Amino acid sequence: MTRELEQGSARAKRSGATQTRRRSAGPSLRALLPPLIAALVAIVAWETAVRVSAVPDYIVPAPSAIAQALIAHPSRFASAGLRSLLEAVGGLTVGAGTAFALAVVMAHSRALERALYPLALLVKVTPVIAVAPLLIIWFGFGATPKVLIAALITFFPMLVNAVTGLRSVPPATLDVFRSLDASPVQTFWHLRVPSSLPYVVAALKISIPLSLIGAVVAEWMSGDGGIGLIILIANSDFDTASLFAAVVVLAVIAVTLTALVSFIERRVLWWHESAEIS
Amino acid sequence: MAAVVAPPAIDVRGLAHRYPSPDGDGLVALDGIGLTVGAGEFVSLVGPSGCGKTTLLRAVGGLLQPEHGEVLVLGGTAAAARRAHSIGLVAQDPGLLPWRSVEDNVALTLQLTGDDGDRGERARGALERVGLGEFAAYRPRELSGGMRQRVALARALVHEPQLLLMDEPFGALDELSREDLCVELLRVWERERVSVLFVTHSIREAVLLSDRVVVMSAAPGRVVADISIALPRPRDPRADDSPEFNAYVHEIRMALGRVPAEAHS
Repeated sequence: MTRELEQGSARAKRSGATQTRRRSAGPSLRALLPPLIAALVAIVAWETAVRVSAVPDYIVPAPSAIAQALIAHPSRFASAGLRSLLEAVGGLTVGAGTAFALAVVMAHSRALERALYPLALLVKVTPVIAVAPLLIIWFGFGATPKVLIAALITFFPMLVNAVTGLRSVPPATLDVFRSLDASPVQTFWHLRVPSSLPYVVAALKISIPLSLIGAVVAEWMSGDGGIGLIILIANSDFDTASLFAAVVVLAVIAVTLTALVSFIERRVLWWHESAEIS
Repeated sequence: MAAVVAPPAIDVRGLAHRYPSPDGDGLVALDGIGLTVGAGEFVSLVGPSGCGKTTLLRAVGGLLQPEHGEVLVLGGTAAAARRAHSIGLVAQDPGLLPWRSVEDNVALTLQLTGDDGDRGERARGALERVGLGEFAAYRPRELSGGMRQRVALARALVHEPQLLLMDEPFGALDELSREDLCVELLRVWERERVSVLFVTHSIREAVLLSDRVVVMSAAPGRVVADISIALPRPRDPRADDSPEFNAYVHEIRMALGRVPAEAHS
């Protein structure tokens, strides 16, 4: 009798769970509508304000002027955007990858954590602006210094999150693994890595815009291509519309990458509490 | 009888353990504990919070290295018993992996012990034995607390261990789930006769389940009584109102230094 009750309640819970899963399966049109309307209202208000007040284009360009700047040189913005995107993604891969590998080491030994953490902190507190010229001197023009700077800027968030994630293992589960004499490798793959995934994904979401900033700052300093170069030239020409257009391209790239990570998150982390909220 | 030939499941002698404390002297958790659990015997540890019940259980499970004393498990060291995969562990927190199905949570044991022939079939068999046969494909999040604890029990039994260590396994459950799980555990144990060391706060639970109840005192943890429960088996959980049953409950209360409760309803 009580068993039947339990089963019944589990079924009720189960259908509840599938409902939440279905709800979070992807952003529906209805969910996209409010932000789209808000953006549209903002653009119209901006356009109207610029036309009514007759602010010159080189101070605040109207959205229509920004769109014209984009449409006038589509291939220029596309190739620059692609270049910055690849540098950012390359930097994210190198930075987050190195950070995760180091986190594995630090999560397994308090002594190594104490030894390496100050060094990692040093990487974090050093302003990218200060290091970028040095890396450009060392590695010249081309993609390498940009990737390295993007890597440098994404390194710390991933390190801190991954160490926390790899350690955030329920003691009761760890006891079960130990009572079965599980090897460190088994504990790592079956327990620590899956437990760390919510933290790793959170770090990726923080790191995506950071990696773009890193790549663009490096481009801006070396001045040999990418969105950073467009910003540099537009700035010196008082071509504010192109400057805003470059920012729009960056924003589109960042939003697309973040949406991609959110999509992967829903696929991989359905079991985590955060899946029910987002 | 097998019990005469087989070494005791647990043989603890002169066990003492301290935890580090701010004043440097160490907090004495256990002081000169002796305990034996025969092969196939069900023994409960009862005592107030902080009497070292859990410390004792962890020492037996090889999860903690005690400072002094000898811990023999199945005739060898605790670590050897652990390496031989002879131990099943159930704690208050079921500690299931939320990203695995119920069946895969049970199969985890077979995966970790490397004894994974017919993994799925054996996992489903273990789930049948705890009454969760239909729930193999569910996720832990979709189950009630009592059902999750049954999954933990199946996970601890699927590799057919010789010794089951249970640390307040029903402590976080509501009264009704607790009763259901006691009945289930009685049924499983009476069929499989695995040796059990069962830590609990509940005196009635201990009397209902056990062959022997070992009563401990707190600070420092010592054994103050070792009471054999001579109630007939198979036990009927509804018989826990019999005068014999209540006499045992009374005896344990006295050993704990409690004023006997007024007649239980």
